[in-house]
Amino acid sequence: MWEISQNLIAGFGAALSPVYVLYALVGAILGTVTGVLPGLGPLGAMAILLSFTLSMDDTGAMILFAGIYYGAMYGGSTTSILLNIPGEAASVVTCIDGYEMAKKGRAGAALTVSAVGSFIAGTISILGLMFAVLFLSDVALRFGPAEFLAIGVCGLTLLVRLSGGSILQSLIMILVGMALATVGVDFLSGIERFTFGNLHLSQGIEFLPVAMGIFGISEVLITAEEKEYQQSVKKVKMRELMPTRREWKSSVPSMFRGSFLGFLIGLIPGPSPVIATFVSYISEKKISKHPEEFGKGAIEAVAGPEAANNAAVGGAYVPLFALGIPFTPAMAMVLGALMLHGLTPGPNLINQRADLFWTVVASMYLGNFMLVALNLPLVNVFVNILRIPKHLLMPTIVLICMIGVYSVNSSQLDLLLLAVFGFVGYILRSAGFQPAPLILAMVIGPMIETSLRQALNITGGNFAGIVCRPICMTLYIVTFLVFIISPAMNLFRRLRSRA
Amino acid sequence: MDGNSRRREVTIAWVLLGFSVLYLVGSLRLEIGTTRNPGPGFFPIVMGVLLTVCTGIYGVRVIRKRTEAEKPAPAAAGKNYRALVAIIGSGISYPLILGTLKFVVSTFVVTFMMLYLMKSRRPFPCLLLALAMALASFMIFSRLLGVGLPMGPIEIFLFNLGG
Repeated sequence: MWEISQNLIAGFGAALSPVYVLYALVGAILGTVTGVLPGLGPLGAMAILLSFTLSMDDTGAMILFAGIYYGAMYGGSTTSILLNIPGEAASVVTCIDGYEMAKKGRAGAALTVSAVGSFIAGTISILGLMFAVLFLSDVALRFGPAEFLAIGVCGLTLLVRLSGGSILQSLIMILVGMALATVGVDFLSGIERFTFGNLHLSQGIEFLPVAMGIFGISEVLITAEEKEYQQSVKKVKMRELMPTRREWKSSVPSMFRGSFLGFLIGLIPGPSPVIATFVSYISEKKISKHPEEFGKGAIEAVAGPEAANNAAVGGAYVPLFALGIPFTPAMAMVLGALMLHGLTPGPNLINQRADLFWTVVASMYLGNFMLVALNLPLVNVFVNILRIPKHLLMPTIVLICMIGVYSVNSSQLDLLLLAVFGFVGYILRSAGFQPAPLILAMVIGPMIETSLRQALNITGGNFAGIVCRPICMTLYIVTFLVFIISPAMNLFRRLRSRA
Repeated sequence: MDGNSRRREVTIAWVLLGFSVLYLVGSLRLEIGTTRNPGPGFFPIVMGVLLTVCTGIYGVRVIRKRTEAEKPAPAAAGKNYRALVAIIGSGISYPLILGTLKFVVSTFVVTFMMLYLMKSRRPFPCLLLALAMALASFMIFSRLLGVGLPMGPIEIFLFNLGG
């Protein structure tokens, strides 16, 4: 405990340096802006800025990305409450009761509760992140290839189940991602695979143009193809921001429940902030003494889900920092940024780069504080961002993406890959495919392949020896149960209704 | 589902199946090794087989889907296809002209193309805005952030401007 306190104090010392404070502030503002703008979510923003993190140090890049992720969660709630427009998917639930509150003239109270709830959730999830990462990374040091294989396989399998779309489509996306990850020199044998003699391809397909294309450019394409939006923006007066005593009393317990729930859901693979908001909303409705008020402007329905989506962000960092495995697309971007700086996240990172981990954790506290301080007084400014014409915003974003991709390797092939994957991402998304599993599989794929081949080498080709280890077996059983629980419940219900 | 979406789904299914088969054929040329000592082709073959099976099932599902809803598509009427052409066209043409025209001119060309096709039909404001964006992005990225961009006479002049 003493060591944790010392590390945290050192982290705050570094995080309070002017450069890192600036990165946290820029991240928080950019995150809020992307959260406000419909279509451009935190993932798109991270993808667009990924290449520019090269001009920063690794800690600065992590601070910027954490700020963007948290900021987007804050920003999304603003437009959900005031305009009934969810800036990003995790704010959809907030629209239901937040907008109803706004119609009743309680928009200010909803915004305050949402901001305070997000702050409490952020703080709780950062505490959870600290302890969970330290515990897990300690355990993970004893993991062998079989365990890492099990974590990778189970993570991707759960992602297929929980990502929301068709299971077959998600599975195809994962397999395509894994296939793309095998392009280049095989690092165990040194033999070239699927390179067609191209020198660029021998280094593998670059993560950056693929991620920026599939998330950044395809999001721009989807937003651009829709006709221009013109919003009438509501003004919120400062004196309207204070909730009543009754509203505080109803919302504070929901904030804490949402925080714990969100953090736990954040540990699961998939779009955790989105799932967390829905689970929180349903549980708040079940617990409430007045469930009939839900959907008509219940403040608990704003406080709980808003806390849950922020807490899920902290939870999502745990598997990345402790195991080096990203369970959400946003964490794949964070991993991409770490890899661009030559870092390999995993159990050793906490020991080798304790300064990075603790500075990022400390900056998360600061970022959360900045977001509350910024968002409430500047709510009208952020909402006005919606007035920027789309035909000016979209070309600017595309230009930033192109210059960003070029700046990393000065490669025209990367620019072409950006355009191709942007178009591929747009086509796939319009046909109902989720691009997130593809990106995650591209990141986790090499780890799964290496672990599988090493594990087979160690066990002398014995598959049972890989599966029948305590941790592996537990993970496979849990995954199997999660996978079959929903179809089994459906079958059970059908049988009961027939009987 | 309208006819356009159905056609798009069928095309995607064929493309995915084609990719899977090509990947599988490519992986069969690699050394598989043994389960005791897996070679570089071991994992790709497993992926290739799974991918071919999955895309095959997807293809069959798409083709077997009933053509029940081959109605005209009302949603397509509200879509801005000029914007799509502008962005995709810029994305593909930028790497092709960047080496020859260098940064400022190629950025100006693609930005103008996007601005002109996305909304405004008046070329003059688009020209001015595209020029401003090309110059501003060069100054920000090259001079301020130190990004290495393709340099020609214009870029060298701008880079040395003001010392």
